[in-house]
This record gives sequence, C-alpha cells and structure tokens, in this order.
Amino acid sequence: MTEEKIPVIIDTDPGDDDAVAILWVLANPRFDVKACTVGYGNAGAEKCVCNMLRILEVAGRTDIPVYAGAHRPLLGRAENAAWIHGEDGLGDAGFPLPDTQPAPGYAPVEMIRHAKESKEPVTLLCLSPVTNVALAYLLDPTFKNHVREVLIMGGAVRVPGNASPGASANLKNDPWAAQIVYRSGMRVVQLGLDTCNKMTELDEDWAVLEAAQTQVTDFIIRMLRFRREQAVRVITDQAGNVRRLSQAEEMPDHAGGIGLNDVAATAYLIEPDWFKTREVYVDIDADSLCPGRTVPDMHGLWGKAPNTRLAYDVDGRAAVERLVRDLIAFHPVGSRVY
Amino acid sequence: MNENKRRAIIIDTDPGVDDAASLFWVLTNPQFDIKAITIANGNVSLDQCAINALKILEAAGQSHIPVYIGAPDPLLRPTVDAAWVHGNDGLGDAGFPTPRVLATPGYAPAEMARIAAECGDITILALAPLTNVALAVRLDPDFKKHVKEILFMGGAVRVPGNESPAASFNPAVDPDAARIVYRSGIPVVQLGLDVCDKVREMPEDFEKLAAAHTPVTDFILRMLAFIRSKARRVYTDESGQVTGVDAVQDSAGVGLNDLTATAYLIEPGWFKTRALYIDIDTAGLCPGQTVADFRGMWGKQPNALWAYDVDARALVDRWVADICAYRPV
Repeated sequence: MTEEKIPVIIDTDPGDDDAVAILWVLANPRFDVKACTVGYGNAGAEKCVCNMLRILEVAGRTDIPVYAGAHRPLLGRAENAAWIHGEDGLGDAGFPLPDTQPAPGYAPVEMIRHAKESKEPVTLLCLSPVTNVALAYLLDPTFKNHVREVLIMGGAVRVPGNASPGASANLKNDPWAAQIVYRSGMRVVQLGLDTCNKMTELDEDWAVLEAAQTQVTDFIIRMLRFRREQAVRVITDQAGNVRRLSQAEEMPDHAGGIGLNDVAATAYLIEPDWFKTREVYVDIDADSLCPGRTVPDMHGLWGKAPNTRLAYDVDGRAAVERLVRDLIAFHPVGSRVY
Repeated sequence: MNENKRRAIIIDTDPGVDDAASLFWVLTNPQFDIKAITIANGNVSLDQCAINALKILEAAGQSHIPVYIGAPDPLLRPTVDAAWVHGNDGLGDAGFPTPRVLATPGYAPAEMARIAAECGDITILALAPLTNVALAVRLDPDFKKHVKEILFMGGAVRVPGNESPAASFNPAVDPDAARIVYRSGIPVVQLGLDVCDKVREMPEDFEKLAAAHTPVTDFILRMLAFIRSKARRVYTDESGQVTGVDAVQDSAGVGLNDLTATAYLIEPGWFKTRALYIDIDTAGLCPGQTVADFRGMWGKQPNALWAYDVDARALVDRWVADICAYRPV
C-alpha cells in the first residue's frame, strides 16, 4: 500500500492558507508525506514551525517529522504578511501552543535525506519562499535526481504581482533562491497568480464547511475568520495619505469570497487535470524593479529548452468543490482539539 | 487649410520600413504641421536612417521638412540594430536612389527642444529608441512644459517582448533613455506590442495599394517586398535545436508596428487605453521592460496612457485609403 503512494515533501511557511492546503493533502491518503520542512514568510520562522506542529496535531499526523529551516532569505530581507495571516500566522485565533516538537536536523539537509531514501523520486510542494530548496540544491546538486518535480506557489505572468507590480510574494521574498531553483535543472511546475486568481472560495463554500462541524473544519473556520472579516492592507499613497484596503478592494479577482493561493497551488497535486499548462523556459529576475519576477520566454528568444510547466488556467470551481468535500470527509484519528 | 488649426508635431524616427509606412501616412494628412523629422539610432545605422528619411520626403514631395540627425548611440549601452527586419539599408534593400537633399545642420535633441519652445504645445511621435527625446529632456529643463504628449511605439505589458522575452525593441535598445522620458513628467501614450500585435496588414490591403499605382504606393510596395517575404530570425539552443522562430510576416499578413502607433495620432478613438504609472526596468534580465503598476503599489500618479486594444481593421483600411488618395506635388 505504502509503495503505491505518491511521496511528497511539503516546504511551507504556515500561514493560514498553507494550513488549509496541508490539511487538504493529508485528507488524501494517496499521498505519502515524508516530511514538512518549514521556512519563513507569512510569519517569522519560529511562528511558522509552531503553526506547522499545530496543523499536524489537528490532522492527527504527528508521525510526520517537522524540520526547521531557513529563517531568512539568501540575500536581503523578507517581509511578512501579518496583515492577511494575522500576527501569529494563523489568524490570531488564540490557538494553544502545540504539544509536539520539531524533529532534530536542518530542513535542507533532511529534505535531501528523505528524497534520497524515497524509493520513487519525491514531489516537492513549495508553499513558501524557496530558500530551503535552494539550500538543499547548493548543498548537494545530486538532490535534483531524487526530485520528480517542484510545485511552486509563485509567479505572475499575465497578471500583476501581489508583492510588487511584477512579483508575487513567495518569489519576491527570496529572488536569488528562486533563480537557483529554476536554473537547477529540477522540473518546476509554476502555480502562480495566473491560476490562483481564478480559484475563489465563496461565502457559500465556507457555510457548507462550517455546517460540517468536524475538528478539522472547526479549526479552519476559526482560523480564517481574521482573513475573511478583518484583514485590511494598509498602504500609503504618494500624497502621504494612509489607505486601508478591504479584501474586496485588495483582491477584486475574488468577488464574493477569498483566494487561498497555497490551496490553489496544491490543487495541482490533487488533480493536475484541472489545469491548463504550457512548457516554457522561465527565469527569475533577481536584480530589477521587481525582484522575484518570473520571466517566461514565450517565443524562445533565449534559446533554452523548457524548464517549467507554466499553469495559465484552472477549473477553479471544480477544485474548490473537491476541497470542501475532502475536508468535510476528513475524520482524523488522534486529532487534537484546538 | 487654416495654419492655426494644424497640429504641430515632431516625428522622432529610425526608418525602417514601418517608420516609412507611418511617415507617408502622416505626410498625407494636411491637418498635421510636421515641424521636423529627427533621426534616432535604431533599426539601421544613424546615417542610413537619415538618408532614408530624406528619400521618403522626396517621394512624398515634401523635402521642405527639415531632417535633423540625432545621437549615434544609446546613452549607456552599445547599439543594436534590426536589419533582419528592415534589410541592410533599412528600406528593404529595394535599391532606391540616393536623395538629392541633405539633412539640416543641428543636433536633433537641441532642435527638438528649440522647436518645442517655439510651439509651446508640441506632440512628439516617437517611433524609435528614446535617446533623442531623453537628451532633449536633459538639455532643457523647460522642455517638458512645451510637450503636449509623447506617442511612443514601445512596450509590452500583457504580451511577450520581441527583443527579449519581456522587452520590446525600442525601449530595449535604450532603456535608460526610456526611463528618463517616462519619469520626465511628460504624458506618455504607450503604443506597444499589446496593440501592435493585434494589427496585421493583409495581402488584400497590398493589392489595393498596387491597384492605385501612384508613386507613393509603388515606393511602399517595393520597400515592403523584403519584410513580406524574407524577414525572419531563428533561435536555437546549444545543440542546434530550434527554440523559436521570429517572423514579422505570416500567412495572415505582416505587422507594421510603427503604423499602429501612428494610428493614435490619426484617430485616438480607435484605441482603448488606461491611465497607469509605468516605469522602465533598466537592470535585470530584460532591460527596457515596461512595468505597469496596476494596483497602485508604488503610490505614484499615472504617468502614461497604456493602449491595450485597437480597432485594427479601421486603422488599416484608413491607412490604405489615405495612401492611395495621396498625390504628391
């Protein structure tokens, strides 16, 4: 049975949308989650580790090792996203501290070890800045031979960025790591804002989830209250006026709901057929007006073989309906009540 | 024609077959008062571009319009040309005779600034890398007050570039100049590949030109034979595998980008535009990329009108009609 499962390592910075995405993966028994490696991003590294442990406790999967990894980008400084994830990363819902501890070891090192010990090459599900993956590749270039593909939540091609006019948050937070990963020879599947903007969780989806009243759905509903009801982005315009953007103003693509980007990326792991993709060479702009921008060579001007499967369309409704169904049906054994 | 009602313009250009097609179009429209043609480095060498502009004015019977030669190189970078599109002489290697008139003495950016100051409200149709315009901005701090708007053929926002994966030719040749112009405070109308890619001049359009059989239509058809049949660039990887083919022409016709930009001068109503803040990337993988801030993240007031859609058929039909109707004196 275990032999037939798809081996996966989740690299993440939970993050409320990471939490929903990870619970979705764990609700699907056909995935063999070897490890969760944790970085920084949505919140600081220590908070992200703490949140990762909480998620596995909710899922009754404290058997999966959690490794702490990079606490900052290779170069430069990361910006967190407390305005949308809450100060603690999980919507400031007052969840108690986890009972469990992270496993000993550095995340990039353990990522290499788990990949090499896996009978089949592993799939990396990357929901955060890809610093840990870049470090693993820099430590051991043969790591890439043990990776089937790298699913990256990041990038923006035909749509604006969400962290700068041209870049998405994960890749902006460590453009150099992203460049290393895209150029590594590992096969990247880019699941960026082009498709994330097309997957919206509507109020009626949350109503269905809330009515289920399982330990998993209760946790999710409580956690997302902040994002759904309170999150505002504060910006300062040129005249010095401070403006508070509601979710509806901040995310006009998600009318009547919210967009959980990590969930939209994870949908590719669950069912690739929901997506339309194109094979193309993509490089990362690290030193420009928009560091972390994904630059696809659509016309082949750079003379490079494709390194990326670029997702440009998705059946967002089918994915959300499956998400809701899977989460409601998930009744973990040994789940801790938060 | 009432002299006061004619719109004063300067055309900054690097002819170039699509520049030529555009220049003829403006020359056929008496509502424009073309104060000067300034020559920029770009499609072919600077001197050749100047010779080509003079040939075009001769063919149009308007050699009284002064031609000023501009800067020979981009501000900071080596020159790039596009002879693969335009032919070695820039006009499709059709063997046109040497023009009888010469360029007018004077540096193009200085003359541009002088004329702008004299007119007070000039429109610049910029069909080339923006080196000359940027130098005019730097020569004269008041230049920006004298320019109504700059119609710029360049940029790629939602579509790939044609000189690099994310940058179009004109801003890619001189990204630093483009940044100076976009940040100058002069309103820019960005007429880039987002609209140019939607316009195709078709075989039947060229048949109409052939049927008119005027000196100007004959000139244009001779000039365009190269781009319509031969212009082609092939990209290969280290092993010789073809990764991309760049052809200006296809079974659906040919794309004359400068013509689409010039159409905004002729009839702005053909275009859909949006006011945005746009900056130019001078570093990174694709220098010259136009970066549009759709969400206002940089907190800047719009500096550009970004053209994102165009009535392609109306534009081409009008070009053909205007060119066919023109009888040079």
